[in-house]
Amino acid sequence: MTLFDKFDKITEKRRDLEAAGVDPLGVPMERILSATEAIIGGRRTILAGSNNYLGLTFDPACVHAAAMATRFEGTGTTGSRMANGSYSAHLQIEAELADFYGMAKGMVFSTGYQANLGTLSGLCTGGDVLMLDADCHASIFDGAKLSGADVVCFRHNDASDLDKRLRRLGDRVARTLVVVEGIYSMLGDQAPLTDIVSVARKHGAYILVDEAHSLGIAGVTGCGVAESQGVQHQVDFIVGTFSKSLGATGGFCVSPHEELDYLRYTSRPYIFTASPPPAIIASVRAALADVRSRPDRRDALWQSAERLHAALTSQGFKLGAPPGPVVAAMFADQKRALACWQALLDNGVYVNLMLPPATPGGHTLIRISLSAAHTRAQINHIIAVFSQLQDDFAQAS
Amino acid sequence: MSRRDDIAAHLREILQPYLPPDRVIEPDTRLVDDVGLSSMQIMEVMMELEDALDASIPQNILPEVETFEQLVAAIDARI
Repeated sequence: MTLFDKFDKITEKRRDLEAAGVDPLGVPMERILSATEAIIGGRRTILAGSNNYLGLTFDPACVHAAAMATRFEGTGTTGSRMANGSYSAHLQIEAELADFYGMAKGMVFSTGYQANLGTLSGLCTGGDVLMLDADCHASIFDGAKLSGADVVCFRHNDASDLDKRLRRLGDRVARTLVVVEGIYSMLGDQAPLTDIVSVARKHGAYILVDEAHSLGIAGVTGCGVAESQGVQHQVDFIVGTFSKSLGATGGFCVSPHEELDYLRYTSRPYIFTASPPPAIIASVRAALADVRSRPDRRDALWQSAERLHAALTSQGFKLGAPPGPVVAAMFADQKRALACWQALLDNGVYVNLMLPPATPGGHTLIRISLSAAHTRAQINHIIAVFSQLQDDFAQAS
Repeated sequence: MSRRDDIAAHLREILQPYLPPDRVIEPDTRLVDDVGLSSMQIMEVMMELEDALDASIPQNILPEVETFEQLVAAIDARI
């Protein structure tokens, strides 16, 4: 037994993918052309798997803000905020995020992954309970593990199942945090937050909503699904990321509880990490201002989502959720999914291939994430390639 | 029937659909290597078991567990 024996199963899976002639786990992009296009394999390719929901990565105001911040404040902070100090922009973005959500406090982390890792592990400890939706993102499970709290799962998006499991906790529910996501990243389905928050409140549990895939997309002002379902001000913590709608990298937590500030002393992923560099904070502040002032981008995104969803449904694809920024086609036959993914790439469309066991229901997924920056012509092209694939498959079988 | 026997009986029943053909559950049956459970399936098994026992079982017990017998003992110690 050697250190590397544990990788045998990965080797085997990689070999399977190579045999199928696809390499979905690290597609090299030779040149990025815009928020929605890159050169891949020497070919101009539509990016439909980048989570760039509002298309702000090339927004002139965001790029300018990042460039100016680099010029005047340097390329990096070279240390953590605890040890090396906070830049004024760190404090400003935290105040702006809290204001955006109508919360008392905001706290910024260096990545979205760390936002969950740092919030959960900073808030909870041994003896506490983390009640997680079974389909939560790995960062939530990893944060729960780091916390040392007891981890209990409830069935995905099932408020009555949550009710049952909270009841079983008895008095411990007072130190329980329920964790859900606004939109789940794999299938793009929304949480029934009205019901879930109601159940959590009934039992006296705290609730955290991760709006990573819904910030800038859902709600009248773009706060996310908690806002769109009218429960934002009953939620104890909202976590989000800068790396999707806001077009950068980083993450945050906002809360109506003043105690959020104590996480600065308990959250190891916050304490022992270099803080976000000036360029990131500057572009995120510009992007957040854009979210607040440009609801038309949300409208454009939803129009594309409705159109693509309707087209793929009519073509006979089984989709994972109602229309939304994530459109996931579910395949029971993995070989067909692999072929489909490669054919999309060969025809100038980059999407994500999601493989079990990391997928809900053990399906292989072709996952599309839409952008407000996708043009009508780009969406038409994506629809046309999917249609051709269905025709080819029908002929072959 | 002791509580541990009760847990074992429920777990045996819940694992049945996941078993490869020609394999039966023994005390030393390994949940991942022999039964072939993925991490998602283990989570599902745990939720089913919680329902069967009407108890809350933290998933934290799993990293120390490899076999059927170890899982039964770990659950017995936590509920």
